[in-house]
Amino acid sequence: MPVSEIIDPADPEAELRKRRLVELVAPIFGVVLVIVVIVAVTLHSYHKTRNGVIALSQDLLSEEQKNITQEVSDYLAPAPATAIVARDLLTDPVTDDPPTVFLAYGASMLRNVHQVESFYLADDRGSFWFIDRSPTDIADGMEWVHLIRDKNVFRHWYYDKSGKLVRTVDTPGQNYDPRNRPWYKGAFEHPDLNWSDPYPTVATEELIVTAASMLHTSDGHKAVFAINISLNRLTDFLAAIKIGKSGMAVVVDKNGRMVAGSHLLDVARKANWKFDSMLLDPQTQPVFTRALALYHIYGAGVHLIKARDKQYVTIMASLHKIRPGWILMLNAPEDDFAAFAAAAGRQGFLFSMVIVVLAALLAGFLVRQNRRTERLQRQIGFERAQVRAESVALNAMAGTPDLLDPDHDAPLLTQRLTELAKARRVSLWRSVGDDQRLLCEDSYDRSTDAHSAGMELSHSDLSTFFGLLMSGDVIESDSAATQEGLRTFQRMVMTQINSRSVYIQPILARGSVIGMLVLEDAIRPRGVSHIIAIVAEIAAVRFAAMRADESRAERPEPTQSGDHNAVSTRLGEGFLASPRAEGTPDLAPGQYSQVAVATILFMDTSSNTSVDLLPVVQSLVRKFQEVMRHEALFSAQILGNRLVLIGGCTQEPDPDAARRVANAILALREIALITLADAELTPSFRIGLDVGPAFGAILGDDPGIFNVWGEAVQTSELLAISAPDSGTIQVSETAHALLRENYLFRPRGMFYLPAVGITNTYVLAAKR
Amino acid sequence: MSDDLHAALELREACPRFEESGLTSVPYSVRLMPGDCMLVACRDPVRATRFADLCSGLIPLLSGQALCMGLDWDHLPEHRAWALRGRIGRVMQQGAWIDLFGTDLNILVQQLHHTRTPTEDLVAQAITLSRRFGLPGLPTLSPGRLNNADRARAACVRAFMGEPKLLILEDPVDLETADMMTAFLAELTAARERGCGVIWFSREPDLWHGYNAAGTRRFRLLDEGLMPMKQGV
Repeated sequence: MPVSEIIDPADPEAELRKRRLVELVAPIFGVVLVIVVIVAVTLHSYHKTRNGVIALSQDLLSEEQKNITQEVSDYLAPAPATAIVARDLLTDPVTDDPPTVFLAYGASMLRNVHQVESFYLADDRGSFWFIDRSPTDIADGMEWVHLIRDKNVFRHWYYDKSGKLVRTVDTPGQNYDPRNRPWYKGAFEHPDLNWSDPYPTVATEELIVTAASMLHTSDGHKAVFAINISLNRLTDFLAAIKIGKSGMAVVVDKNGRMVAGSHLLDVARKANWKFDSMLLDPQTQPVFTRALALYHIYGAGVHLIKARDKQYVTIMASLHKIRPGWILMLNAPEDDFAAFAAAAGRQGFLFSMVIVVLAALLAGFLVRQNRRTERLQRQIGFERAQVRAESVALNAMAGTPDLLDPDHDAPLLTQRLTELAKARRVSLWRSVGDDQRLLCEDSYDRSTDAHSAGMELSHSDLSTFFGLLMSGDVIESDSAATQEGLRTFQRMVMTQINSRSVYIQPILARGSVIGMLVLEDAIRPRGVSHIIAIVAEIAAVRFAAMRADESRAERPEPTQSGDHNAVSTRLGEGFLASPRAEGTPDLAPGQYSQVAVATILFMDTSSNTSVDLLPVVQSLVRKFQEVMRHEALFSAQILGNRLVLIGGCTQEPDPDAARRVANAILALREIALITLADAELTPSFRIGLDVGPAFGAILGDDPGIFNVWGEAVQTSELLAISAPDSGTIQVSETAHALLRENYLFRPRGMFYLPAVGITNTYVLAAKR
Repeated sequence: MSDDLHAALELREACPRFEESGLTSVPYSVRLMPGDCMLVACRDPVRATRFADLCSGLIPLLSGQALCMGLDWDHLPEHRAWALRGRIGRVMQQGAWIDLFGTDLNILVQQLHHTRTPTEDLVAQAITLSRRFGLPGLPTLSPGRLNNADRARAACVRAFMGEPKLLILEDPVDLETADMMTAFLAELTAARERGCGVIWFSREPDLWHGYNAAGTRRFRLLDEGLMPMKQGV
């Protein structure tokens, strides 16, 4: 069962992993930390600068407010000053004669004070005089207007710049009575100076405010002197003031009606020149609307107001001293003052980011270098391990006794090479039968950790492959299935483990190819080509020795089997090969010490199959009989699902009987494998072979039945049952001793059998 | 690199600290290759246990080295050393059973701790081994309630669980449990075939009588050190 350990103690990488993580994460963490610190510092400095700038801008706005207050005050100042002067000057009675002082004073003021529009003079008897600037056709001239009450007309005198009368015009008086006018009445309510509410003049699209004061004439009558000031000029003045980049200023009364400032004309037009409707528009002037609300709550002061997703700095101040109820409001977007701070912050942040990017690049470079060093270290470690593994493998080979002796198996060769080349399978093939066949001497499969042997490749099947091999060069292919010459080899050999690539090293002795070393799916065959060459040389020595042995050895088999071939196999009832057939020498009942017995055990796994079994079994048994006849077995009996073959019953060790049984079971195995595979049945049978004591006798009369029983029969059955895999032949130690000269075995291991003690068993692979 | 290139256990002039181990401070040298078996005769069970501890890297050394699968116990970080001990199957002289749990958990706990093998697979493996050692199944009683023979069987099951790379067996079979010998030897042989190194301590060298497989060496553990024995004892 594969074991998946949580910690692999042999894996030094586990130690490195934490370090590697630190090496990778630390620079990244460092860079992130630097970015966070830079962002924090930038934000902090931005907020600091912004607060400072806002404080500064508030100071600036306060100064600006004072300045504007002064300017507005100056703008409206002529009214109170003129009123005081007029009170002293205009003491003459107001009659139908031109009031020379009033007209001279008025003309002088109109010429010199541009915000003054006109002057009124009226008394309690209804007299009314008026002076303003002449129409545009008379440059810098003056217009006098007098209400002639008898005729109910206004008489207009137009004078040019030099004071010369240009023309006189009468216009209807329309029963005008100055005493009914609000400015006249207001003057009596506030005798010093009375300001009227602003009122529009639609014709000139001007907003006028009138300041009136009451005075006493020398004839004991009361008169009112009024001065009209245009607020349009104040609006123009406020518009001309620069507050930040896009700041604005307005003057409103406490009810929110606009007196002067930005958008005054728009508001006036919208309100149809009705002062009561000229309110601040929350849609177009949201900042001033909110500022006014704040003024009502908190009074004059500085506030930050958010509108249209922007912060505005606003300042409100009362103009009470100049005109009660009037409020001056200024606003400017915060950005006008603090934008440079944000821009500087952004710029600083960008520069910092450039530094961070450079630092990140450096960190990345550092990580890359670390990784590279790690990789190189790993590579060096791997190379060292490889060299150590090669040394160990070579030591192990060098330390193996009888490595070059073909009588001793050397599974170590393929096994070590598999590990070194990281191959899936390595096999050693020897050329036999006049170089007409290649016999697999040993094949090691890494995934199953198992050796196998015995497969044969014949020249007739693989002529192109043999041609390629005999050239003596290394054959290498990443995809053997597609390479000419290797295709058949791939199909016959490599498909067993579905390997793709192959590396074939021919084994040469005295210039001729006597075998090959095959590495399948090797990861680095070139890296260990020198080891492959060494193994090939060792194999060459072994194979050459085998050849020499084979050519020297007297081969008794042909003569012996010739003898037996002379005796025809006896077939009888109940037997595939019966010892009771005619002409058989009588078999003396008794114990025979050396009986070669093989048991073939068929597992019944095909009871549910749809295949018609009978013809298959029939054909199988017929083929078996042919083999038995050919091998001249002493007896072969089929009992249920087992087939018992007896090579011979002799008191003396008879290697020939054992060989006959071995030959027979090898042949039977091949036949069974082919026949069952052809019939699409799983070949599930196991074979055991033992040579040992057994009883043999003909039991009963008419018919007397020959039977063999005893230890050898039992052991062969036990070996069949415990054979490692289906289709394998497990052989006892005794049988192995008799057969090892002629057959290839691989040891299965040592087993403790209760009756026998510790014993070895072997798996019979093939004929040598 | 395959594990079997390294010795399953190697003591290089390893000289234990007497004060902490109770083992005499003499240099011990031995090399046990994968698949090899060391039969160690020792009359004193405490000494055998201490020597087994030395092989498991649990005893500090004055000098020399103790290596398991090519890894030096002294140079191995703690967590890897414990993981390496997870590859050792051990039958303890003192039993080392936790009576609070059933024997089944005692058997499984090492593999549950060290591996990610699913519990069902471990249980299946434990049952197979239990049957081989002559138990009808995985014993679930607490270890104290098992009889001596069954407890010895359970100890073997625990030691052979998870295909260990090194088996340290302190008197796994004694005269009382000799009927288990067949199964024990079969498992021992299979483990050695897999490439597991085995150290088998016994108070009764006679018990090895039938065991004479290739790659087996015999030693006697005395206060003077580890002395090779002649074969065939």
